[in-house]
Amino acid sequence: MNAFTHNEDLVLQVSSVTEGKVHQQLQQVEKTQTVPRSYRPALHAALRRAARVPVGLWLAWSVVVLVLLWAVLPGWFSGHDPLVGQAGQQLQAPNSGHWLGTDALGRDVWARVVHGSVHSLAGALVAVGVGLVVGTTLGLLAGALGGRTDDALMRLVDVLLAVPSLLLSLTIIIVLGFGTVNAAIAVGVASVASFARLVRSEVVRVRRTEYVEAAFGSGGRFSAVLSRHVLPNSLTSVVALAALQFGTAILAIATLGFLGYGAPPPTPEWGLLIAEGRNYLSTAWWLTTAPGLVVVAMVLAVNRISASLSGGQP
Amino acid sequence: MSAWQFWRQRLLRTAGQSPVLPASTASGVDAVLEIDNLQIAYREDDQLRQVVHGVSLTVRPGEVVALVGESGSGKSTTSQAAIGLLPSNGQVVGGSIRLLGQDVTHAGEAQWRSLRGRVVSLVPQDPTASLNPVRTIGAQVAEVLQLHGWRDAIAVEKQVVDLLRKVGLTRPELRYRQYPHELSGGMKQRVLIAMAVALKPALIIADEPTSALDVTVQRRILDLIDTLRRETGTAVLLVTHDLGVAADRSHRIVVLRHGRIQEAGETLQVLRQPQSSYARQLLADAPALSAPPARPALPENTTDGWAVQVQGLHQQFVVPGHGEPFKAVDGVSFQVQRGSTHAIVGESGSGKTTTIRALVGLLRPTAGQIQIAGVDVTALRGEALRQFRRKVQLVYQNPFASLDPRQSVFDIVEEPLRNFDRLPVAVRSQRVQETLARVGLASELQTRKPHALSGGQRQRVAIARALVLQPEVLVLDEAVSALDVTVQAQILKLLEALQQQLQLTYVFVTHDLSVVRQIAHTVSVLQHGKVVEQGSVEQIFLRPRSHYTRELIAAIPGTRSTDFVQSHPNPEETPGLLQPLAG
Repeated sequence: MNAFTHNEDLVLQVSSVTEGKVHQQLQQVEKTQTVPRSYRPALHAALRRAARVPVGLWLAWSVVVLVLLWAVLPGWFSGHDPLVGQAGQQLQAPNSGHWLGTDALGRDVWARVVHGSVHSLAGALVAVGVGLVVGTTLGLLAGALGGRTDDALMRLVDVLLAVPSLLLSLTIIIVLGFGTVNAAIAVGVASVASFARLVRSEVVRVRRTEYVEAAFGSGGRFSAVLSRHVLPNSLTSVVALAALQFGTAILAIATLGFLGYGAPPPTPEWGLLIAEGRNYLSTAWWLTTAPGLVVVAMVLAVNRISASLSGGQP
Repeated sequence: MSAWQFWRQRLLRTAGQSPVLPASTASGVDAVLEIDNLQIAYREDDQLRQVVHGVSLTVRPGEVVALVGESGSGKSTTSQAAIGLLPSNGQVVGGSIRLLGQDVTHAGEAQWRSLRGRVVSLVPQDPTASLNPVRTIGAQVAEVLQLHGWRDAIAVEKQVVDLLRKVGLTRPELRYRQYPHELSGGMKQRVLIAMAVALKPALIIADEPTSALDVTVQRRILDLIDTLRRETGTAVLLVTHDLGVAADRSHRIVVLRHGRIQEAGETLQVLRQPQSSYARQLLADAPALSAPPARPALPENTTDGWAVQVQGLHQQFVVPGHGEPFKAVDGVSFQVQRGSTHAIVGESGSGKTTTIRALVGLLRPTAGQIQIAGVDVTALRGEALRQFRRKVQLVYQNPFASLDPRQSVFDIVEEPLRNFDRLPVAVRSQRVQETLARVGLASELQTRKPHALSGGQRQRVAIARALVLQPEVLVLDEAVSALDVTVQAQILKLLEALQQQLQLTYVFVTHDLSVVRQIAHTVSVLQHGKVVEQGSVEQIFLRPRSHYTRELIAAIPGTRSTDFVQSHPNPEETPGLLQPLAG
């Protein structure tokens, strides 16, 4: 309690530093800033901060970290081969040997889900990357240049928004050909519009601020002002959207996989897993349920993290 | 009691129908508001940060008590506590608040609902943000009455129109049906005052009621509050940062700093014989209350010619839906001698901001000539305009908005240098250090981001950014209006010193004539885009020719009391000061 009250006084002292006495008080300020550190070890502070994070967010991060580990080190989580089936062990219900049962070829579903995470994650990463880079560039140009460029780019975005995103992705895949990477690019292109919209609105807001005008006023060139002020200050909410799009992309890639436009059959991609289990829905529920629940958990987790990034909830 | 009766009673109570106080106590108590040793803390990151440390004050019926202090002094927190509107993370940790003798320190929301409006009401700071933009004025004022049990729609409308008339709005029947955006700032503040006095409360808390308004409007609004107070006997707790306003309008003054009372007493007593050093400092810094400093004479040498010459400046804006373009600036001309300060004075909408935006080349005027250091600004395009920006720099009003929140102080000040010559890093760094030292910023501050600086420090950073290119002309757009008085005085001193050292020419835009008297050599008074009066600062203040200038000078808060403090030793003889309290 003693340390606590002492600390409180220090906070007040910091706020009491007024203009003009800067020089005299500067030393004092330095002191007040360094003293609390010695009173409260950094670890303690970090633990306190962590304790304030809501349980839901903890859970979300654990899900994401777990899936990341699956993608990086699948061998740690599953001893079975995801591609080669074991004879005589077809369509087994979940048991101690096969936690999530086996499929029609005797392959372990748990192993396939674990090994499939890398495809889904990499696909989502590429998709978000495409959307983020292309969308941000379009939005930045539209917002910063204004006038006819703005009109032209935004009408293009309107067209993209007018076509249902699944249809748009399918169209692009048909042009590019099947495959995991192509599916990811297709999903990314479909998300360009929402990124462009958001970035443009942010850029328009930032461009009107006084510090941007001041930067032009002190002789800044257009490109310099754009990269020094407009872009960094526009990106905060874009990061939150990127996280949200990550979840959407996982879902969209699974959808394309389910429809057969994604990775080719032996690949244990999550959407494909669900599609393959479809025929056995009445007899072997685990084939669709297990990968389905993983997709749901991952998307929910990423959405929760996105919400925390956008500042709505801690 | 049946459940139905219980709920009905409860409903009536929250609607303010059941008498909270016996009628007799309302007139019987000797204090409307009693705050005793009040302590308030804010919860931040699981810690309590105390901001008010034992403030005590009393407001008696019909009295105006001014709560004066800088930003962060706890004056708003104290007043919010007195109406139960502390932010959700604020809490009273000690002391007590009594309204008409009733202890409300830990009153619940239901109890506050019945008190607010009827016993205590609030006139908020920003009239624009405080009215609902999608509802009519009439509906919003009527809501106050309806919340407190008025049911008869016709009676409500009649009462609202009466109220609107009472607060001095012309054509109240029309205003009743208008929306907030159709009213000016002063009119909106009148509407808010109407809402505050609708139920004849015993106490009105006016939280900086005029700081968002022009000086002449400010004067009229304060007059209105004064009149209403005298008619109804309502007490007023006037929260203000402006000692001039407090001096003119209050019976007693309470000076706060860092949540502690520095000085409290009769207004005249505080003004004439301030006891605390802080109050003396405030008095010395208040431009309207202190005698103007001796201005260094204008440099006699005029062979340099003019630093700034503006001739016949016109700026028109096309308003969609209107045939006639709007004339923001309509034939403005003025000259500024090298090394001197020219003030452009006017209220909002007078065209002063448009004029200086054209001056620094951010806006191309419709017609007219602007010559700065012999260069015609209006003819410049592209790269030539960019190079010209070295010569003239603008300092903005709000140092919170004009600094990039993501840059450090060093980056902010260094940036202009990176825009021009390719200087080596070491040279740039040295120039930044020199400039920071010049504006009185310790070099330890240079790694900080703007949010970690005080308002005055931020404005110093903004001035450093403007100076680092070594410009000839500095244009200051209300550069001290957003700052506390003491900070304002320091920035004005700094500007003065910089002018002497660097032979800078200032164009100083402001709505505050008392600041003009402190810093300017020559003045242009603008109204509706035209220059109504021009001349030396002595001429403008001592022998104003236009009616508008006289009105502006009369509206400076604190003038009445300065005259009084300086020349009338006997309070009773002074006309125009506060009427003595009746009873």
